[in-house]
Amino acid sequence: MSWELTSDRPIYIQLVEHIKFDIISGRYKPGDKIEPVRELAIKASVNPNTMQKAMAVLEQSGLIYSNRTSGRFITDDEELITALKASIAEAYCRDFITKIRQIGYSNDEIRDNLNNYLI
Amino acid sequence: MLGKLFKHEFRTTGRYIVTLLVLLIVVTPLTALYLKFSTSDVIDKFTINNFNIFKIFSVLSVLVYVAALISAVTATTILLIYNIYKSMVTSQGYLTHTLPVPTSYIIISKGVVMFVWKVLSVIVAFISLMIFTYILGVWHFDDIAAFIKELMKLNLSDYMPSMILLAATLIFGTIQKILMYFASFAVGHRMNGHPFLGSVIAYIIGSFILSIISAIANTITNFAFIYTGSYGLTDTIDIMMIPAIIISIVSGVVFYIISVYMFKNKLNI
Amino acid sequence: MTPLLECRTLTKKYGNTLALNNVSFTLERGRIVGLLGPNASGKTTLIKLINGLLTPTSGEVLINGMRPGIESKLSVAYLPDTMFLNDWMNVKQLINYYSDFYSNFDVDKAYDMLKRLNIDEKMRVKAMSKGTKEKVQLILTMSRNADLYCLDEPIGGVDPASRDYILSTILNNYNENGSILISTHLISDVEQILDDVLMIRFGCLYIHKTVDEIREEKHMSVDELFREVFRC
Repeated sequence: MSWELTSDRPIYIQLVEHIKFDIISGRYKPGDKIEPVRELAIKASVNPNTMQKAMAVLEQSGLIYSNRTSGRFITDDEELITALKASIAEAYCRDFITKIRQIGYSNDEIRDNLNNYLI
Repeated sequence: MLGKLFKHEFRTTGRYIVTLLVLLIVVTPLTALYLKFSTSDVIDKFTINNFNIFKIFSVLSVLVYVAALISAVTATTILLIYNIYKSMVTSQGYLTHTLPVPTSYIIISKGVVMFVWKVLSVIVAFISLMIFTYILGVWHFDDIAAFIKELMKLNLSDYMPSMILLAATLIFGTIQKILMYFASFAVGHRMNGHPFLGSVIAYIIGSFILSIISAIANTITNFAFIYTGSYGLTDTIDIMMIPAIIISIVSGVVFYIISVYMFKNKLNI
Repeated sequence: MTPLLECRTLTKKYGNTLALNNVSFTLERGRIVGLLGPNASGKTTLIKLINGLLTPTSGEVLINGMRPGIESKLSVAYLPDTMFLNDWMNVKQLINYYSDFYSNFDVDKAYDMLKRLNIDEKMRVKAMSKGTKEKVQLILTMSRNADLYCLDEPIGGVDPASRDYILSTILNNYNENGSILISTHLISDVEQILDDVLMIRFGCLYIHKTVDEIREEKHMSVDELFREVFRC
């Protein structure tokens, strides 16, 4: 029912991340209309003001734009979305490398492991 | 808003009051008929060794009837007092006191409804008594015509003042009693942890003060009376009703003011 | 613009016990506010004062700039934490009662919510389970189009599924012109729907911040902060 939200960071930041993920994963396609704030807030079981804050952040980043009369839409700017995807992917990779280096794998061992896994 | 309060108050209380009064009306002919049956010649046939079981129950039936008659009237009052307590002092009071209506309306609506039911219970008790005695053959329908004829013969204007005073005593007395219940709850509910006990104590204190005032007023009236010369017995009774009426009205107003003030400004539930 | 709710040095004493001590704050419209504190911290006292069920020892409470009275009773909806409904009434009669006295009562909304819970309108309060009674009380309260809703422990003693229902009902009824004040000690359940937090400690207003401020400044959730503040 409600989105997975942790307790140590502001909720609106986590909502921004959740929606960003929905955008890059394709759940929201470029140009799609996004649900009204209230509806989204109820879905996420959060305060509508908090969801509004998240929307404001997303609008500022350009991922979402609002049309006075028809509501809010995902940006058509595919380059922006690709860039976002890339930066998130980079963060995942950095996180992965850090963790797997902690185990003690060398770069070659890492590559072998990845190749096996990707088959 | 007052009308709506009346409507809901009648509905809430009517449920059990009407049931009670209907029960009385139903019980009346049953006990009366049983009494009649058990004292008739038919029953004598069932006598065994000078012992007749039906006759024993005949006494019981009278007791049952009298008990039902008295309890119908007193139970009406008690149930209504409990209704005031429940709806104004217990958790139901959270709803009552947050209604967007003046506190005075709440008290007036409940008070008037209680008055109506009290009067009705007395009327029904009277009707029940008439039915009971009629079934037992104490009077017949032609007695009514004879009774009215006798009434017509009387010079009504002689009795008017007494009748009016009597009516006033009863009416204002009843209203005063009702307002006294409200005032007792209004003051007593503030006793932390024991709102009902506090109300009872408030009522006792109120009654005590009232009886002292009545005693003083009656004594003064008596003396004023003696000083100005003596009259007949009926006049005495009439005159004695006057201080009672005045006290009822004044104390009623005082109780009303206390109730509204306390429930409005010193509510503690 | 008069604030929706304002408390000015609000104090309430019961004999020698100080239930609320010099509490001052304002509440704007369009907020969902948590009134948080352990039992007997003064939360219920504050809510009762807002509703005119208690009178202040000193200080004042103002709703839309007015002292509690007939007008404020129309614009404030109170959900007590106990059963307050008339036992013998059935749902239909309760709805008639509410719509009779509250001009801003939305009958359709009430029936809609009851239907979704499969509560029959002929059911008497007496015959209801505790959970159903609580839901009916909530529905009746939230069907009023009030400016301020005061919910006293709406989810205490309620199973988790009902808790979700109650919270989503609250969210569904949120409107930018009104505010909802939720008094509770079950903070982790309500934290994510709150805008602001009023933390009451021994009758004093200890913290008045937004949820985000608390998370950003203290790097912990409101629930964790509460546990820290009220550690036994």
